[in-house]
Amino acid sequence: MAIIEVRDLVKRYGDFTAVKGISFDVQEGEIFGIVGPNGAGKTTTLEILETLKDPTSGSVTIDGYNVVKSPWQVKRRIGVQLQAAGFYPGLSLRELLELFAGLYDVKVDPMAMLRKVQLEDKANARFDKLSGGQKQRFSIASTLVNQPRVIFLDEPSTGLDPQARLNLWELVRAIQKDGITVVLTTHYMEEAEQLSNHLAIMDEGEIVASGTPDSLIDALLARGFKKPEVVRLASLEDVFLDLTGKQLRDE
Amino acid sequence: MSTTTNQIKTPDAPPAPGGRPTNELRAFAALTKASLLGQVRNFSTLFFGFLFPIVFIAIFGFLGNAATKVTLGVAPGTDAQSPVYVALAHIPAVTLQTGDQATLDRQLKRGEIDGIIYIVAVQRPAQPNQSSSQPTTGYDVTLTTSTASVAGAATATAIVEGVASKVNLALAGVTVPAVQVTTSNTTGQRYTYIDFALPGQLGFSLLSIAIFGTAFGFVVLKRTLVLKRIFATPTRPRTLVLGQGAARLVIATAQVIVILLVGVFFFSFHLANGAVTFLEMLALCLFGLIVFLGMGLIVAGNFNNENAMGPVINLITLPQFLLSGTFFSNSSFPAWLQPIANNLPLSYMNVALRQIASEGATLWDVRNQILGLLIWGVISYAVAIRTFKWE
Repeated sequence: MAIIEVRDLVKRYGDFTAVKGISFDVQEGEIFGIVGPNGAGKTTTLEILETLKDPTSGSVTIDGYNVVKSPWQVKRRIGVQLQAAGFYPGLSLRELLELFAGLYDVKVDPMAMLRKVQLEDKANARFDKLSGGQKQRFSIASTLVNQPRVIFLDEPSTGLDPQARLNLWELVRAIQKDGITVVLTTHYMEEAEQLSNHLAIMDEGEIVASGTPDSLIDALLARGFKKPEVVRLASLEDVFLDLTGKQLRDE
Repeated sequence: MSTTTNQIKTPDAPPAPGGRPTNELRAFAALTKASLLGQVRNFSTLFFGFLFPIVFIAIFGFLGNAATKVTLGVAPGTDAQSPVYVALAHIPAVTLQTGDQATLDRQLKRGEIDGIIYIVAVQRPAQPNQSSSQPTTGYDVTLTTSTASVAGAATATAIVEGVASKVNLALAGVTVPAVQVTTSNTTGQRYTYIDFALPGQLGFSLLSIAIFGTAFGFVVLKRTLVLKRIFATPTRPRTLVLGQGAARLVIATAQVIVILLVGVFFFSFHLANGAVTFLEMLALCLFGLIVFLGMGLIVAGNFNNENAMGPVINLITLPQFLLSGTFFSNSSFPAWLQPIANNLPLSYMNVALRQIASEGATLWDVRNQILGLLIWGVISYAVAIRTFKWE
């Protein structure tokens, strides 16, 4: 069952076309990855889905509501993490979650939400004082305030060390287990492969390929692709994690 | 690819196609609280809103109370028993200071003292018209002044000459002078400079907190994408603006109360009709703040980084700072400048505040100033609404 349906989506800025008529579906309960180089149109696509930008043409339906015609219904049903966004200055994490509860007109237990992202002991700290991994975990917690059907994460793991990234993956999987659909963009193919049930590869405003990670790899191999070297059974990242452990270091 | 027939509509979905935004009152309260906490925890609110005006008021308070004083150096060898010296020493406004000649000369050149006096007794030959033919004791008084302190030199000369005349009359045995001067001092309401300065400080601090605070506050929210994040929630932009405005009104209320109380209790600022005047000033201040917030929103809406915004803020605040009678009265300006100066929003505010505070005017009495502010407010909000950019 598709919870997000994107049809012929176009976004133009003057002469520049950032998104060139893309269509895709996101199934309920899955993790959907959008990968692609910088400037591919990932963030623009996400911002249209998040009701923050109006499309030039095409349609987007989220949980049955059209993002242009029913923006308030959509806003209630989604959680949004913006790329490199800050939070209201001067407030503690607990106060920020209470602010979001007010904005969504819902009741929350800030401590329980912070516990979920292992930030209970930072309840009275300011967002600015957190480490990179903690900031991303808090950002994700803030997307869950309104018990959304879908959350959008824009490059959530950029700038994180390997331990913090693994920790973030676990958090995203836990959110998926709670039945929330996750749409995320990333520059890391390993992340896309590990997390996504389905993914779309974008380049220059178009989706050049989509499917499950396995199906995309199989399709490539079917076209006769061979890696120049035989893959070793471990990567440098495996070495790094074996030596330094998988525990979070940023606390 | 799934088909579009599987549309999910949750049962609680209202029929209105656009849906409704969140409960605005709750969002408003949350945003007001956030803005208040943010401001209270920001050092610049405390500094520019409270400390800065109080420091200014303190300076003016002391300036206003200081009477004119003259400091005279007493040259070595001066006859301290002479009636001239004794008379000078009895004048409260005169401070006599002894020291060696070189030190006194240096101080005089720097303007640290207003003059050096040297008094020496001399024997004067008998005057033809005097009854006694004996020589009499007289005094040569030499006063040296400097261009370093022109006003001080003039005052010192006048005082020393006055004292010399009195002593002359006394020595000549004149007890009933032909010309008698009586000075009287009207001690009605004892208005000092603080009564002029405090309303100006009040008006200016409201203007700066409204414009600086709003403009910088919004631009930080824009730059850090906090605004964008809020617009991804079902909260209307206007709720955010209202919440910010409400928080500034709360801070401004505290600010006005603190400044007025400090003025009244520590610097004898006069409230013409006591508590009524206090409340009228507070009401006018809050109205003025709302007008000034509109100007802040114009700036906030048209910039998205602090550096480009700074000069524009100065362009709005600095002329008002200088031309709106914050520190000195507009009446000393040249005639061509007065119509401009007198119609600035801060001028309306300052004039109205002073009339209420000093003359006991009511809000109705200052309706022309309030109307002037209102017109500025309508223009500001109209421009702000038309030009505001959220990103």
